[in-house]
Amino acid sequence: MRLLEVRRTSGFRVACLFFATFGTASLALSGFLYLDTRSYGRRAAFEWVGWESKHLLSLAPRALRERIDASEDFAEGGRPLVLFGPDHAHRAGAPISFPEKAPVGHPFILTQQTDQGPRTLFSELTRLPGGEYVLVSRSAKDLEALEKALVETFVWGMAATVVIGLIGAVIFGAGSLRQNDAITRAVERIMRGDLSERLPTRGVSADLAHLTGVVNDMLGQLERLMLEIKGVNENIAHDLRTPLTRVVGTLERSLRKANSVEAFRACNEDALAEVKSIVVRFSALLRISEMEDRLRRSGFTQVDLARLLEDAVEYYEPLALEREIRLRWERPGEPCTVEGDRSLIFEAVSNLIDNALKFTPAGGEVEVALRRDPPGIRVTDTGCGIPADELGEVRERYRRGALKTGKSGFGIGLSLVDSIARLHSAAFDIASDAGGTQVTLVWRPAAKSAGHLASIPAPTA
Amino acid sequence: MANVLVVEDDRRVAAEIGSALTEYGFRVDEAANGSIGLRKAMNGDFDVIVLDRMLPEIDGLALLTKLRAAKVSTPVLILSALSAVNERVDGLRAGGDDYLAKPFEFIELTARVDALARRKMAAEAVNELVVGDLRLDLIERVLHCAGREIELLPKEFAIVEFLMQNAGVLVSRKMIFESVWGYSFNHQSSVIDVHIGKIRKKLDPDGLNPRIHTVRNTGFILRATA
Repeated sequence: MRLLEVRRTSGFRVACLFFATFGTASLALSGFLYLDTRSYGRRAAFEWVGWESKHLLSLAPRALRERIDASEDFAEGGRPLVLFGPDHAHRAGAPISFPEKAPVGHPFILTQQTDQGPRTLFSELTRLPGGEYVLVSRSAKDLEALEKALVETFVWGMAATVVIGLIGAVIFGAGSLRQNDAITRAVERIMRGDLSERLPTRGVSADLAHLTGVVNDMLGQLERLMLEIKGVNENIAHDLRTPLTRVVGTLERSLRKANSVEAFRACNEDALAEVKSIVVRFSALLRISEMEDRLRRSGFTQVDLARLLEDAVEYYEPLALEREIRLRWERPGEPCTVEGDRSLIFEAVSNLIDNALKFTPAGGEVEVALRRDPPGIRVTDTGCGIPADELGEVRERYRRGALKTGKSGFGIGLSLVDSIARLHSAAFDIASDAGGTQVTLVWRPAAKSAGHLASIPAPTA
Repeated sequence: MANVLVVEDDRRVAAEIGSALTEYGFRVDEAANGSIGLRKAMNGDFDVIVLDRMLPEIDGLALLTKLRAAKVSTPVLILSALSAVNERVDGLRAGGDDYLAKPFEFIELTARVDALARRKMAAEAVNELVVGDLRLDLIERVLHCAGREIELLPKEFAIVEFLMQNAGVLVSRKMIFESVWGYSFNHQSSVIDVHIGKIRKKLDPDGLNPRIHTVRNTGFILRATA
């Protein structure tokens, strides 16, 4: 056991403090009890001596003498009586000499030397009518024994308290050391890169358990973000390498083969087009990361979803017409406002409509609808649908849906929508089967818990 | 031709901007940091200022705020490499007239500078726009093409209005989208081309007298025809 470390733990210190406080209170109580008992014993002894003196004064000389002769020896702890002559000479009773300094008629403490050592007596000296003196005493031996027993009891009690207190403090200290060790080990594993590790919440005190719970939530969030960054990095690497290779190839070809201004120009244009496509892809990825930036929320205003959807439909109508897809939209009479960033919401809506138009064959239908209570957006298409096993993955950041349609650029759009939904504390849901896909974006009534998406079921069409 | 001040600290970018604008026909002056930029902007007679967001000595936004405080109303196009999405809002709030995020296409930059320069020149309100045989009545909201009244949807009208305001100038798809729909994001889609295609058919059903010309990978130019 690392006693030195235990000594420094808060558990040990708190326990020590508690026992010190408790011990001091016990000591004060014991001291009070001792002093009170002692004072009561003395008072009772002096009262007896005074009462006995008065009684002896009332006795006839003979009866007095008999009483004195029969009195006990003070050495045995009894109640000795002594008779002195007017000249202070010892006449009868216990072998005690006349206390010259004692006050007559008042109680006092008399110390006498015996073979067994000094003896304390509670005494009173009374002058008889004939000029003689009588000394009435009571041995303090019983009282002293009681006081000694009390002191011993208190000392042993305190010793036991200190020992029990220390043992308790060590147990408490070792407990908190164990908690700290468990937390430290977990933190070390996390620092070494194991983000799936969590701080222990069982076997720790309630106040610490609350804190470790909060830290564990934070770790969960960090783990999610790290995984996302890792995924994005891998995808960027994978997806940018191909166009970069094409750029390098085009430029090399221009140096190797181009022998006229026109040929160089053509190569240059090809390379430029590739670079632009890289920039577009890269910007989209950066934008998704920026969505996580809560600062964006500071620019939130009241946005009329009805007006926004109207704009989006107006924007896509000619494209739908060109592709022979019916774009259905019922213009709502009343505005429907939510709090948000209008450009971002438009971006989300345009991504949803764009996707729907992309995956719906000619002759199909795309429906854009406004929802109220709670406000939201619904885009339904009669396209090829998303396979069930891809449904969960499709909105993961930067995933390109390798769907059977062969059309590219599916994933990044939905990832953007997902990020925009998160930023607006809106629920983003996709329901799909062979008959088509329905995507909903619903603002939750109390938009307080941002960053955490609770999935809500999509309404049936 | 219009005078443009380019405030940009990166020499190579500044040189590229300068060369693109000079080729387009602008007279270009350059400033390599914020304080030189502020001095030149205060004293010089410029039609447009191209201002980088992050500059040594005086930051781009601070420069712009000082300029506006001194009642200098020269149109400003802000360039920024900062990725935060509300950069644009901050730039426009500080008094910027347009915003372009790096990396940008130089043709887009020149088109925007040209649009700003024209906006300064034609600041007074007009009731009618005329480009060749196109006449747009902004009060009645009617377009006449070679004397024939053309029926346009509201957004088509807005696109034609924007093209006519910038007649003879290259406008990018992004500029059209931002101006007509009023939303701002880096939209990469051919949807604008479909709208333009519809307008072209309405203006010139036979395709004999094209007025809106496509510039490959960039945008469109409206040119006057007799």
